[in-house]
Amino acid sequence: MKAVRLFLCGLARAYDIAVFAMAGLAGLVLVATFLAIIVDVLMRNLGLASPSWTSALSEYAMLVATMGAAPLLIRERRHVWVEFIESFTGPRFQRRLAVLVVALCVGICAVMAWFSIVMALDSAARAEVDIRSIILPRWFLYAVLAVGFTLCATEFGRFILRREDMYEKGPVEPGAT
Amino acid sequence: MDWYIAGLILVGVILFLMGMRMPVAFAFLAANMVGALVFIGGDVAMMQLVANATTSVTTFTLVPVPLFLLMGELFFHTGIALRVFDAIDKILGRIPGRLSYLTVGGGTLFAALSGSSIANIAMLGSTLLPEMARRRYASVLSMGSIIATGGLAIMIPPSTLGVLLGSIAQIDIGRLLIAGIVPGLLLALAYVLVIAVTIWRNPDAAPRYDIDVPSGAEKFRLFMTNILPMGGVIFMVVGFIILGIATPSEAAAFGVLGVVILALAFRALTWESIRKSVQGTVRVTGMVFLIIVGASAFSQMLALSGASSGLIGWATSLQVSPLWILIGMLLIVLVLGMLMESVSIIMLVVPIFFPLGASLGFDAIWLAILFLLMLEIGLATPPFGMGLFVLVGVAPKGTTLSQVVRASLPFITVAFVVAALLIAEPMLVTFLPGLMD
Repeated sequence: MKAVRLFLCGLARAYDIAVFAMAGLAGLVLVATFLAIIVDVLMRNLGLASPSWTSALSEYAMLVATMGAAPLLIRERRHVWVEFIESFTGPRFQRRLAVLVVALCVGICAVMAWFSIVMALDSAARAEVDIRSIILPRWFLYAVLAVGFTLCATEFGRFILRREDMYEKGPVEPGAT
Repeated sequence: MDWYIAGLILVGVILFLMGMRMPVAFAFLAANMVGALVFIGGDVAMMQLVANATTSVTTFTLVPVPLFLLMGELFFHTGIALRVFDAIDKILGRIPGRLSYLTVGGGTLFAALSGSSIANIAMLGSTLLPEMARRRYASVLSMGSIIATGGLAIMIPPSTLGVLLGSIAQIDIGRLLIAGIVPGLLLALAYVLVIAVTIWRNPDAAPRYDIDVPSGAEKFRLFMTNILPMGGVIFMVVGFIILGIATPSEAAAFGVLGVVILALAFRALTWESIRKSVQGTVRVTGMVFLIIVGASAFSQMLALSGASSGLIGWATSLQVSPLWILIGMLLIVLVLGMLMESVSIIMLVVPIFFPLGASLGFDAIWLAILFLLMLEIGLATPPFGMGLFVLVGVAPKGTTLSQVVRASLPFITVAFVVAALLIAEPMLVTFLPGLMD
């Protein structure tokens, strides 16, 4: 029993690290985008051959930043929702509705994650590539979505498991799972 | 299926799910799933959604969004914002209503250095409102001027919402950003007039008090050391775009570099300020871009279902002036602005209204600026204007939402006047981008 608990604790910790590492990666690629663009423009204006990969790298960085930040944003309850239902419904109805909404969100993310995995595997099998100023295997783009949406689904599911209110904002600390 | 039923299904599902408090990005995803299953069907439909999601944000036109956000975050977290503010405050001296003019002057400068209205309102509210309350300023001059000026960041470049709108509507981002300069300055001027008239009619609205006024030489020094360098950063963004030296994405990166250099010069750049700035940028970028990922297939669903072409066919067959259709569109944006936040509105209405506007012969940049203006007004309109909540959040205890609403009414009125002026004289919008030809 103790071994199972230890395993679950380790799993939870590893999962937390994954969520925060994804957000860290999002920050890293945004800073890298800034630096890459500056280097590109400076080299071009100095008459040197500027790197051809800057624009493509920046474009892919936007997807990595989006899906990297998404799971942590769910945990921190920073996604945007429309609040007007709160002005004419009671707290009990809102609580039940919240559970339904979270369950729907788990389903939506799971469907997106599933089809992203299917397309990543299919794309890898066909050896498809995304051709921009650099050539990238297309499965990478689907894999980013697959990882992001899988973590989003688990983050929404976490609200149900922990019986937390998705709409109640509070301090969030690493390793709080 | 009739076009209006198809359109109703798509828009209805989104609004219904948003009404249930589903996070906006996922409401769009769900509606697109429903639309894909109904109008395409099978696994192919879902695969199309995934394929769309990969291409939705991997575009160079969206790169300025996180960079403009990073620029604004650095500006606030390094304390440069407060430093500039303090300098403007001292330069203004003893004029009646000084703090209100400081709000508009400083707020307009902030708008040119930060792309976020919410950050602007929060900054102006938390720094100036307590002092205005202590000096017994009338709420029109305190809360009204703050909420109005904070919204200018939507219009004056670098506007993150402008980049977003331009990217979704497939408008030249550089031209759109530059087009916001004249309307933004017109709004600032109109706000100054509201303050001047209010004080002229009721001098007690801004009671006079003694302050230490710096000498002319000191004012000159403050201007040269604290305000003029900001002009350099603004030039690195706006000037580079106008002169064609850099694309908007590159100009945004140089804007960040400009703030970093200034922060280094002021010895204000710390690891902590960088960490906070990057964190803030990641959060807002993730939130905004996930909505784009979710909504990316929406315009395709509208086209596939026939809703887009049906609406355009219907609207162009109406025996009414295009002006009334324009007013109708702007009213819808305004009403949505009272209920939803701006990114969601853009994702919802742009795929519908911009093709319609094009079919009626409207200039896309002019239409986009009018949309941005409505979004700006929506920030300050009840019941759910985001700016209202932000200001109440940072205002002294006891401030109510209705007080803020009443205070912002004169400013909302003049914003409508500016909107009417822009509709009557589109040149005010199209003149500056026209110089870039």
